Amino acid sequence: MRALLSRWSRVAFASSFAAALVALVLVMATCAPVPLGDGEKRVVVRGIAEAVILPTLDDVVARAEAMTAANEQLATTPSQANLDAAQDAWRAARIPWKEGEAFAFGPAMDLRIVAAIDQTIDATKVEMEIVGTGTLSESYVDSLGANRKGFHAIEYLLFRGDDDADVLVSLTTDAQVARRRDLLVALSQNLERKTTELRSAWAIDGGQYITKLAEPGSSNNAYPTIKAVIDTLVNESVFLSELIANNKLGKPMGTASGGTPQPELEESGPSDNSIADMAGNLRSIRNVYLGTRTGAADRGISQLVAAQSPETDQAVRDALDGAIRAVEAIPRPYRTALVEHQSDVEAAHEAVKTLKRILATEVVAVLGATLKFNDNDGD
Amino acid sequence: MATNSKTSIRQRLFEPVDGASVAAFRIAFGLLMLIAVVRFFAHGWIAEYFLTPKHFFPYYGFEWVRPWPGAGMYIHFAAMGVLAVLIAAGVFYRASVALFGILFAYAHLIDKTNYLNHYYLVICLCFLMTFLPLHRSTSVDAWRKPTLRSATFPAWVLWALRAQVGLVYLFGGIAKLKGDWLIDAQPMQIWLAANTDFPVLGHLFGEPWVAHALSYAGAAFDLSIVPLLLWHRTRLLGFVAVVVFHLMTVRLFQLGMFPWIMMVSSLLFLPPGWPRHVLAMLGRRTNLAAPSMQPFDAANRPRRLVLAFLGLYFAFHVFMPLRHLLYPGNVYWTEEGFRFSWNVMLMEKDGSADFHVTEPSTGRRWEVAPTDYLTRYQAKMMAAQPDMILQFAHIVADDFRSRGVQDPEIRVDAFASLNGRRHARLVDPSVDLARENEGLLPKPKRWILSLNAEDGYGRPRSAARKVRP
Repeated sequence: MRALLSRWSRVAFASSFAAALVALVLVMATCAPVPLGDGEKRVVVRGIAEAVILPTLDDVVARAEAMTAANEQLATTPSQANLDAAQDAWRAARIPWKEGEAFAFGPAMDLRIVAAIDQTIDATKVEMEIVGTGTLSESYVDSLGANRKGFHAIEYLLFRGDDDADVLVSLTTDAQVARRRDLLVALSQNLERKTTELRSAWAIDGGQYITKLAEPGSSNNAYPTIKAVIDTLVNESVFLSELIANNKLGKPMGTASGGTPQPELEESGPSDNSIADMAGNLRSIRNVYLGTRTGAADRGISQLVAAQSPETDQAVRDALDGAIRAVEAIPRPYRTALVEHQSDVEAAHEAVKTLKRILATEVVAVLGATLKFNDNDGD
Repeated sequence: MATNSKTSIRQRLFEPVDGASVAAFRIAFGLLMLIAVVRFFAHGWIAEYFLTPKHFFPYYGFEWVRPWPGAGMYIHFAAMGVLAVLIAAGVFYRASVALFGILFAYAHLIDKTNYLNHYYLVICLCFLMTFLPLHRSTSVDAWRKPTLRSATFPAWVLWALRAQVGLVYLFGGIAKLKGDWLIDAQPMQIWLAANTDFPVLGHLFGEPWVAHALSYAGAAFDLSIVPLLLWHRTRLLGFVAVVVFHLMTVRLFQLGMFPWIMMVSSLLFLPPGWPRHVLAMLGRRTNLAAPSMQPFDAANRPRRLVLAFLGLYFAFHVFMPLRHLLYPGNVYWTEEGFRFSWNVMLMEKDGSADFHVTEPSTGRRWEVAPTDYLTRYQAKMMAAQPDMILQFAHIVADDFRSRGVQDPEIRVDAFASLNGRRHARLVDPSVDLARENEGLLPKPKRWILSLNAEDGYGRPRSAARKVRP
């Protein structure tokens, strides 16, 4: 009987202990945030793909086509009005392109699109093409190195800071006027072709990269898990915010030269478009984060972060708004602001660093995202 | 009574046990190391870790350990591969395992960036195995030299390996007995939430109670697995738990060789004759009988030396995981005493660090992007680890000195987020890190700010003083 009682008491104790443990777990669990499930995450990613990535790429192509048309018109009939239209078209084409940099992975890298159309150029080499003898066709431009084609080569031909007269001279009375015009058209056509290839690679009726991104799984080499997709989106945003803070804002400010401004390092100097470029990049991060191009909805990565930490989500939104506001508040052009409005530039720099910081720390942490620069093992 | 039990334990350590399991462990360890080396080639890690970086983060006192020039690191790893095969085959066993351990340690002493607990475990096992006669059975050495042959080993050989592996679980379990793990279920909750497409169970990973349950289960597993494996009544349960637990971690986390090493190591806790039973089940008929358990000749064994060695070795391995107690603050935040302590998968910590250089004589100021000096992976790892932040500050200071900047002062805006907390300042931004130095003795780094549990923002640690304005 004693043995039986003893046994019962042990069972009762063990049961009570187990019940208490379960209760403790449940109590603590009720206080914890509820992350989104797999299906909801897929909806978020599909939303980003459909509401942000594809429409942005559609705009990139449409604006590139418009830029080609404007440059063809300018090449046919050089005039101040047509130059203004071509310059406006170039600036307009930059907007969706810069808003697409937060998803400049996948086809953009595989097809080397970014390298082909948005690299720093070597003006001397562009001039060498103008005085050269090669037929300046679209296919010829396609064969050229990245430092003599793309947006900045076109910019070089269309802009001289405030001096449009000089540009018009180069397109009307210059010794190489015909080749200069041919190059302008060929560069535009090549850029248009590259953007079309990019959109096609993403499109459902093309390379279907959008499907790869939105439908991860074991048969998907690029994205075997939904985590891989989210890691990629977060990584790109962190990388782009670092790029803006360190290179696009910082280096022209003189952060690498002991405080001496280096306006020659700004991204789009001849067109004075650097501030717009940076604002476009920041909107790119915001669009992916919010899952919309309007800046209003509660979708995108924001939804995932908010499910884990509403405070972090709000902090990211504030940081995004603050960074965009601060960059857009820099008096244009950037080259003069670097000297005359340093406090505005520094405020923008600090705002972008704040954004970078919160993305690289809290967002990465609450999403358990791997800042994945290699495939190292970890324990 | 105590004296008797001590004597009994001492005697039992020198009793013969079947050598089959430790021989099997030697073979499996050698093969696992071969796979580990092959993975370095296959993933391109040799170039990525040792050839691409311009700067490294060596361990204190090992600054002289540098990558070999030219194809040296490829030759280094190829040699490790050959040695791993020799270990498995039992060819020049002691020299092979010692040399493999030295080469393995050399490679991983080059850069803290690549620190992993299982690399440390491999180094410990190689060191220990150098002193263990694991080549006396099922080896080419024993085949070549019959006098070496022995089907039995003193029990201490088996128990030394068991202790080494058991300490990983024990201190891994003790490290989980903290608020983050037990109360907030962090970082488990973050990691499960990121893996909701895990087969079968993934739909539950979004449930907060699952994170708590798995956190408790993880702590209970680590703390109980050694006794579960040792006691015959729970051994099967324990072994199934080991396999299930580690296979889950293979799919959930990117742990490389660690789960496989631990699964293989858990075989050490089975009865030492298990390979004979397995071979018998597989139908092998030769040499399957249990060996005769002839007692070892006590007079010929330097027993005191063995006991002294084991005592010192394991005292060191008990001290190392506990040395963080010598430092103030949260070890996951300060990372003082964090490495070499079996803190396995206990934190999700992500950082961001911006460095500033000032030349006092001119007031000129630079900002340094870590990626101008480091690979992106190095920069990411450095940004959250204070001792690496200090090392990077010295790399920057040296570079600026070489460029003619007089007495450069290096300060950092370093922030980190730990286990789901809001991001907080990690390092005192007023401190000139160029004037701070690493040391061997446990001297807290006062420039690391404390993690304030209430608001998550960095404050000077309670015992802290500002080093320099």
